[in-house]
Amino acid sequence: MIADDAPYRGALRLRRRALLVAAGGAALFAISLFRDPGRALAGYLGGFAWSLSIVLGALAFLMIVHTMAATWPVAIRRPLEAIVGTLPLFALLIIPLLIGMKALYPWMRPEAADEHLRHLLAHKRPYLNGGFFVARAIVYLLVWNALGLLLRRWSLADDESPSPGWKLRSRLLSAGGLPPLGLTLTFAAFDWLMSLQPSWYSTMYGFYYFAGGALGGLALLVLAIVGVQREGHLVAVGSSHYYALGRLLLTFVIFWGYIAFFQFFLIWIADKPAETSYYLVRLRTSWRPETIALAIGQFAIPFLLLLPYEPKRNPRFLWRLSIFLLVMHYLDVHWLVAPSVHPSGFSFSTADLGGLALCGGLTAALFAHLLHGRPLLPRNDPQLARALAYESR
Amino acid sequence: MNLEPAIAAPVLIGRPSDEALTTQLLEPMWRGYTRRFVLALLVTAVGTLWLLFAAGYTVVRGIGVWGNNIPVAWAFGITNFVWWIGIGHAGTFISAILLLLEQRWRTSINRFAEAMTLFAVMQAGLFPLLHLGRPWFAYWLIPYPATMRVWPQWKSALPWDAAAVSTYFTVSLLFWYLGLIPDLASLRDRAPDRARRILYGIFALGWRGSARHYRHYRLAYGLLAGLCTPLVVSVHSIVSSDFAIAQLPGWHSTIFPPYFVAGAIFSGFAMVVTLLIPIRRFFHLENVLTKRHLENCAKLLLVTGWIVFYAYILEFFLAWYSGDTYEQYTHWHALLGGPNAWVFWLTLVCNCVVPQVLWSQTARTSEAILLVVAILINVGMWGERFSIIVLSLQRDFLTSSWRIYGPTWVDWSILFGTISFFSFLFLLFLRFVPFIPLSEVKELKSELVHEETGHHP
Repeated sequence: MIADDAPYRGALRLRRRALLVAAGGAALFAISLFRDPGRALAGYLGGFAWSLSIVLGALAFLMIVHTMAATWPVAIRRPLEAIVGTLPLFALLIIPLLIGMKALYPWMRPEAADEHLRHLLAHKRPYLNGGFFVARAIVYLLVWNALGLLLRRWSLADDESPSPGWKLRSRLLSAGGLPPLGLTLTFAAFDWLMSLQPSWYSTMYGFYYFAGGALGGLALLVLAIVGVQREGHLVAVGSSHYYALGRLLLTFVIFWGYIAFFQFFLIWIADKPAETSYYLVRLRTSWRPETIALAIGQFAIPFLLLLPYEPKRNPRFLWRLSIFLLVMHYLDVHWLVAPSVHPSGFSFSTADLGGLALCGGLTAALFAHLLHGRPLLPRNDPQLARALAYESR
Repeated sequence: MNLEPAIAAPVLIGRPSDEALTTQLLEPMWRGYTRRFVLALLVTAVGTLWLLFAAGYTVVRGIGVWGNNIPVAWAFGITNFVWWIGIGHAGTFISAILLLLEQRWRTSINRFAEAMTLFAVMQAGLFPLLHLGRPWFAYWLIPYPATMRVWPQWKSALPWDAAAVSTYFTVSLLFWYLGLIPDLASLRDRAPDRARRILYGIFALGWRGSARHYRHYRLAYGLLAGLCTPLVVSVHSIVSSDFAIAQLPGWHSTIFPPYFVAGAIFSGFAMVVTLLIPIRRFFHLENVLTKRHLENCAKLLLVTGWIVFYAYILEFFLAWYSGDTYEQYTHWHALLGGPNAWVFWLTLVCNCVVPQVLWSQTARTSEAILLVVAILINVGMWGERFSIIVLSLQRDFLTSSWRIYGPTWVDWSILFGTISFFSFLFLLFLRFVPFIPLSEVKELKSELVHEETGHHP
């Protein structure tokens, strides 16, 4: 057993490997930029939106946990805070998208649109224009970084100078920060993803992006916990904690399925041309298999696997399932991005792989870096003893 | 900013013995009728009779006695239906979801919240029946093997509603009754006379409180909680589909299912608070229904209120963003400035502005403030459904078919009649059934004692 109130010395191998992956991704991205900048940026956007959604999902979970003053998550809060701590990276990662937005977003090129779309774009111009787009991106990133960094800093400050004030401060910030988080997340999803198909809109879109991201955030958290446990850390985190995480995974699998189904169903049954265009591309072209794979892989399979009692308490099982869920969530984000820029049929290119490896690799490297050198348990948290002793049957 | 650590109020004040708890919580069942109680019962009974009269008048004379017109073919009837069914959701949320989330504070309030669900769903069920015009054909909604080969139209939301609501009622009733069994046995054992001993004895199904009984009971309770959980979400998602599957601007919006579910829980908790505060006062239950219960309900009001607020923001933004003339007209003109638009403004104030006082802990723990907020939210949530239904229909696609809606005395009679009927049923419930779950409060108490002292009492 290793004392978890001492600084953690692991995760160096992860950091090294993740940086290698990111370097490979950067090379692929650079190559694909020369071949087709629009497609390359779409691939990059997929990797960016995937990594970001996971981090934002983790941020939302952390804030909810603080707001509720929940007990058991105190035991697993440090890995969660390390995920959230990667947010400043996204202020850098967004730069290629802002530089290349003309190649990526059709509303930046109204002259290339047909007459109907040109009319619509003229109407949407007060919102969909380059300057405002950049300004909004800055606001979103400022809000997220403020929330994430303060929560992490206050938690670490409690290690050095213990005081109940840190935790109360985190609680107040989290409660007050949830409405701004919800709105910025939604509008970021509108801006960066939904506007790829500027004639299409869905009020459910923010929920959809959040649902997948929250699932991804929880899956990454499970991977982090099982990972450090394999090195002999966090031994007090037991099957009840996994059970709680497993239940949350199940909840968000169902939540994602619910949101995805109703968005599809309401658009399908009302059959309005402006709305169905989105699903026509995804169901009537060679994108169809990916759509079906999502329904099965992001909902049916994990739902059935997580339903029984025993698997939710089993770290090995949750580890495998979490990897699967992160892969499915990438497929989900890819499904949001790629069919909009490549409506003629299925496409998975080196650009997608490059964007995924670059953004995902850098996020993972920073995550490992942040986990390293800090204690794995918030040692002075007044709820810690009860959090470690948490039992649930 | 106050940075003193906020200490949450306890879920149970004092550690009374099991004996004392039984005596305290069963006392309302044995006490004589007070004058105030009889008066309340009488007033609500008269209101219920008035409901019967108005419903009978509707059936005899036809739907024409309501204010409905074309294009406003759905008005008070569906507004009231959605309002009542939404109120029911908090009960199921408390009993099922909070149980699965291991939230202990649900213990004292789950019983009467479930009763509220049942009575609210009963009111809700009346409206689609009456709106059929010929309620004696209501059974056509059930897909029975009819020799006339009349089959429900599966693409209509009406059979979905029938299925969702009747499932909801059945499961809620079973859940409520199952939870009651140990308490009915306590009533049987404590009943002062033979008649009540026999009556409660029949309903207690031979409960002896043995370990084996409890084992089966726990299993069944957990399973029913699991079954109820999807119902909290599915019922109101289906109800929202009544609107969202149409093409009418103001109705067709993909966010409707989660938005309606949040709204339902929002209105339901408002009703829970509206009932909780007077009960707490009249029956002197401050030790069992503590400030913690008030505060937690208030927090849930704030959370669900924000989800509703979020949905309003998105609907208005995307109505503009869509570029669709009709979407823009309905949201930015009909809702904000058309006929009856004051209802929507009232909704905005009640649902979006008023709940913000709940950011303050003082407001969350003050009975008076909380009661006012809860009643205003009840009004706001009724107004929301009225706005969605009537304000959108009044101004549909063709200007030539536009018509303004105004309710008649029959509409008002049925609305207030259902409120009376609901209150009447609730008063009877307070009289005849333990409305604080005895066995669960005792169990909570022993858990608390166990945690404090480290050994079982």
